[in-house]
Amino acid sequence: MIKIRGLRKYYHADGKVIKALDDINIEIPSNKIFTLLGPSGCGKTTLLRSIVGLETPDSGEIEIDGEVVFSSEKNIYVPTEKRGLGMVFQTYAIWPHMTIFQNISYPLENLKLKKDEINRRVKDVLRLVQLEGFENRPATKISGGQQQRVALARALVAKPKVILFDEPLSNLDAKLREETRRELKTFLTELGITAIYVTHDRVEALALSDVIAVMKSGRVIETGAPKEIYFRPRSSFVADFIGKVNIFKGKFSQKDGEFTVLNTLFGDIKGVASGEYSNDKDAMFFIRPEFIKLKNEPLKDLNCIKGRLKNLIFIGEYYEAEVDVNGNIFSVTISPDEELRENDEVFVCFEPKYTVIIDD
Amino acid sequence: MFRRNLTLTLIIIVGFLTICPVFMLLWGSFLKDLGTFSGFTFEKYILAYTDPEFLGIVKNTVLFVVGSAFFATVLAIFLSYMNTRTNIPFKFLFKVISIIPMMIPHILFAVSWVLLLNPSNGILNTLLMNMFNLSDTPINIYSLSGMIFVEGLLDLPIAYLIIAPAMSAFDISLEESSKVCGASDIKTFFRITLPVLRPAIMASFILVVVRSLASFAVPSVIGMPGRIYVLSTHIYRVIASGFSADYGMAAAIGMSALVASVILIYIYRYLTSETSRFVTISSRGFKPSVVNLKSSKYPLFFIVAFISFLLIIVPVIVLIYTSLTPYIMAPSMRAVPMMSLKNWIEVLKDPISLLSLKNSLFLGVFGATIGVILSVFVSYVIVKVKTKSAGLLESLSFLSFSFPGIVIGVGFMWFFVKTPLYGTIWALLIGYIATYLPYGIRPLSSAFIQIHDSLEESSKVCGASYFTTLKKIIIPLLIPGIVSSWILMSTMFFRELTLSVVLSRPGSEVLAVQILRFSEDGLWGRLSALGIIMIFCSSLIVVIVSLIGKKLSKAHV
Amino acid sequence: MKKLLLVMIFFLFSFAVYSFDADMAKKEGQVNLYANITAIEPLMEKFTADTGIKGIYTRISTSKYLATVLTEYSAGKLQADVVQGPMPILQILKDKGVLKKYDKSYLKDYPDWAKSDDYIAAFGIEYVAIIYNKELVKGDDIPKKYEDLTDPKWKNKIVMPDPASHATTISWLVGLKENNIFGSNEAWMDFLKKLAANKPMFVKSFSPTPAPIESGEKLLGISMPKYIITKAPAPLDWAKTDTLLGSPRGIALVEKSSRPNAAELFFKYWLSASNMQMLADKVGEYVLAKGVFPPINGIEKAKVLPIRELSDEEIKKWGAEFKKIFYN
Ligand SMILES: Nc1ncnc2c1ncn2[C@@H]1O[C@H](COP(=O)(O)OP(=O)(O)O)[C@@H](O)[C@H]1O
Ligand SMILES: [Mg+2]
Repeated sequence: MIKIRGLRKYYHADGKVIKALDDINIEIPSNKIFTLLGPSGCGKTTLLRSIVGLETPDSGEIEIDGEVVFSSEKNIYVPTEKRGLGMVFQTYAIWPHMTIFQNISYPLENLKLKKDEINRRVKDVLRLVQLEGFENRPATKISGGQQQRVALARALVAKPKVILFDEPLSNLDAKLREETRRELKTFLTELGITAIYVTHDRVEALALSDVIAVMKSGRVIETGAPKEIYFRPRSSFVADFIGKVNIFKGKFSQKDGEFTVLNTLFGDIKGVASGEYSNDKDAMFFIRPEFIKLKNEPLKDLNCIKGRLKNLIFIGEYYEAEVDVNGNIFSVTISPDEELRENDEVFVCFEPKYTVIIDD
Repeated sequence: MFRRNLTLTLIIIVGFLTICPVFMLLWGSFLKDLGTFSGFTFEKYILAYTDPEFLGIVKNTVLFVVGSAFFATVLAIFLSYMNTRTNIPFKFLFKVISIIPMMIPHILFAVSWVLLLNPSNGILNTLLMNMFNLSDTPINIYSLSGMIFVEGLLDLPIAYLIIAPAMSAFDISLEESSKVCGASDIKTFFRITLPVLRPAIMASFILVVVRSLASFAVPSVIGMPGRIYVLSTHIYRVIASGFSADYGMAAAIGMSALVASVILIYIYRYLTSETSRFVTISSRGFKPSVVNLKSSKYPLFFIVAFISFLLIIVPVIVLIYTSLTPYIMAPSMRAVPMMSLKNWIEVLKDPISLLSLKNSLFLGVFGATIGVILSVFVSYVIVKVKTKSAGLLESLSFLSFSFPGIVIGVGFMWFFVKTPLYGTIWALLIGYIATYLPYGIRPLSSAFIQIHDSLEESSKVCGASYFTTLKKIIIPLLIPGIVSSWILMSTMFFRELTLSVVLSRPGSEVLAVQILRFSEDGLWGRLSALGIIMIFCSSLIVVIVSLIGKKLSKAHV
Repeated sequence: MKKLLLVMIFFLFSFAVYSFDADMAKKEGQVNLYANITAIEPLMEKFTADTGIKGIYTRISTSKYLATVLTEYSAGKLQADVVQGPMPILQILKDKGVLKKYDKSYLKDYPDWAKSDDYIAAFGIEYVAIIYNKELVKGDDIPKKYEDLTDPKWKNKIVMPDPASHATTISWLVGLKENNIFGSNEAWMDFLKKLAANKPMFVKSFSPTPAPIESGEKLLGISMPKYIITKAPAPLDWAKTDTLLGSPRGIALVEKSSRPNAAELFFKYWLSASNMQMLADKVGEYVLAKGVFPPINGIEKAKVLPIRELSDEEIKKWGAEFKKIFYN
């Protein structure tokens, strides 16, 4: 378990203050894959580096497995090399002057292990990452995917308490990235190790994580399991960031059983809201394209809005299209077996339980 | 925490080494009486800077230093690009070309060029005249362009040793992506390669500017006969006209060189502060990629061969020739029967020459090693600890380097005489390191700039202490930079003159001082013989160190 | 053998008369000479061999001489026991109290002016002459008087030290006037102007003057006859003008020397006729000991006169003056 309390880190550049970390409070569960997700520049790397100890925050506290490794108040700073963590860098940081074996055995040497112990463990970890037989290759003479695995092996070999990843797949090509992501998931789940994973790629985050923390401008704005974050985001930023979404404004009007009714320019829209709201308060609803069904006529118990089909694009698995409702655009997906054409008049229908109402 | 302590320690060490002599000079420049160090006056500054000639001198100096720096840097870029990035044949030539002038004593080099290009009977001039049926000699070495040419050649090694490592460690993907964007090799070179190499190029340019500002050999041997005065010869004039040489006044004039250098260093830091974030060695960028020169391969090789011929072979031949002749004579058949090994025998029998060889070897090997160790720490702080105090450290390291040589030597003397080291070889050692620290720092900081922080950080994450990281990761990656620094420092120490001439005493004689004595006595034959011995020893050291460096840095392709 | 005998007699004699103690001198073991003179290592070796006292020769160039000696002196670290240098420098050292009086009887065979100062003994003259390349300048072309340098045929063929900044050269040019070499001040000025019109090449001091002459880059120049000896067999010769001028060279004892006896012994040895002969033979110096001449053809017939030493202010003033004439 890693506990982070009130972490702050400001940079001063050109007379401006950049709040890279702005009061971060999170708990990272043990033996789970925890992902920091957010747009580039939101402070993910800074947070990661603070945990490893490569960055000294201005204030706050970091506790790893019960040991405080950083505290501005108590004036504690455990240096990186004493924190016993493993990390895979974005650039992999494979030392070009060493062989693969030397790269991987390095953390063990620093633990002052015996030679045969080192050999054994390097062998084991090389088998694990499927790089057997590469021991004596110079580190510069391997592919990007292999470098990534060397970096992983190096991070794992000393059996660290926590392994941290900073966008480790961003240097790989799309296909390899997908493959590696899958491998990594299985791998980390099997090992049952605590992993902190930084990425700006939502798909990566959803696919890999047990828990996701979404960051924006130096703050963690939401934490939750992938499905929670995806289906029940608590802010439009998260909703938008985590996947394609249609968002429209409205005002609270009333409660209707388990649902809340929102007054919008399309009429009343039913959806789920977390918490209680007073009437006439500004709010918005959103619905993901994949939950929208196009119908020829409105259906009962569903939110249905009439519009016209536009911009039908075939992208393989399905069509992407837009429905124009008096100038308001809904993004939708259409399964390839539907027989629809552009300019057809359609009803945009979606279930209230997938319609999320938030008040931000 | 550690970084702060390191920065502080280094500021103290480097500050002590460089401020002491400069402070003595500053003090001296305000004193009426240097003998007793008493009386305060502004008079020297007023006199020095109200001299109506001063403006002209400044103009000449600016043209001279900028010209030399430009020439040396462009040539170094050309040679290092050809060497590290193309498939030009006989690559070993480049390293040789670019380093040899480093080892030739500057007076000898300048005199060789006078013999070749003087307007009366310069060998090349006569040759050209006969070849093209000219009525007059075409080239006059005693001109500003002549000075720039020779000084530029002399400073070429500095430029090359800074630019070449950066060039060879360049992340190829940056160029590749430019080519993908449709740019030609040449366009890529100008739009991508050069701008990315800006820190190294600027470093080389500034270093050559500062060096030529302090240079005396070329301005005195070539400039004075051409009646072209620059700052260093102007200072010499001040010292020479009168028996109680006014070093206070000389220091007052020298202060402007010092100020100019400090400003330059700040401009340099400012201009490269952004670029230093561009990092060029990542773990992927280490594979060699070679530009195929195709049909221009041999013409380009011919150009390089010609430059090398001019640069090394001609002056060295001149040296060998003068070492064999009883006096300086224009080459002709008549000289042949007069040639003998007499000068060589004289030199090899001369106990002072031998002692000076021994001392210089000691200073060149041991001194350079200490200097490089200090430089590794200093450049680490300068590059990786980007605080204000790191900037201070960098400026400090340039202090005594940027002072015109004839004056700084006296500053060191005023300082050392107050210590027990005075008159010993250790005074020379410390003086050399303090003065030529930038030679150690520049190539090393270029190298540091290129080592991505993450290579160092990942070592820490792997549990390595600071010193383990230094020993196992940073130093091995730095080997090319360390080799460059060591060679620059060692060859410099091996032929150092300006400080030595003031600080060396019986027992601590060094090669350059002995060479100067031969030159003052007009013994050009012995001077050339000793010069060749010097070049030979220096080359041997350089070759050995390069080989060791190559062995140590396996990744260096 | 004969030499050894002579030396022994010389020493026996000297013990009787002079004030220093030869035993003490031997115990002091060594003597350090600061000098700016051309390679005199052979003389020092001879001294060591003759006396058993190690002669150390610390060579310091003129431009750094005073700075070095005064710096060391004020820090209490002056290593020198005996100093040798141009007169004006020694004068300044004398004024600062660095020097000690010497026994004038050591200079018995010297002209009176050489021993006129109680502290500084003059032993030679740094004589200047027109030096030419004897392979390229022959017969009637060889200059016979200074004015011959102004012949337009020598345009761009002359080398000389910079008359605007080089102290010794400035003093020498002024010496030509004060010794009335040309008959009148106007003739002297005329000489300067015509010399300037011949566009001589300026170098920083005398030492770089012979190189361009021997290589044929220039044909002749204002230089020193001693190079005829030191640079032999270079084809150099001197124009046989009847008067040569030069700055006197002096030698003096250091007041606070820690080896006073060895210093005195060296001082005396230095001024001895045999040492002076060696100085003349080996380095071509013009020495003041009676009847001793350097082995340069015709030099014994020349009148070699010491010039008046100018003060630094005068040098600066005349330097500025010459600059107007020579740099135009
Ligand atoms: N050393 C630094 N100096 C100044 N600003 C920095 C520095 N490092 C990071 N920043 C700024 O802090 C913010 C957060 O950076 P970072 O943590 O790297 O973001 P992310 O990894 O989420 O892309 C960015 O705006 C970045 O520009
Ligand atoms: Mg990042």
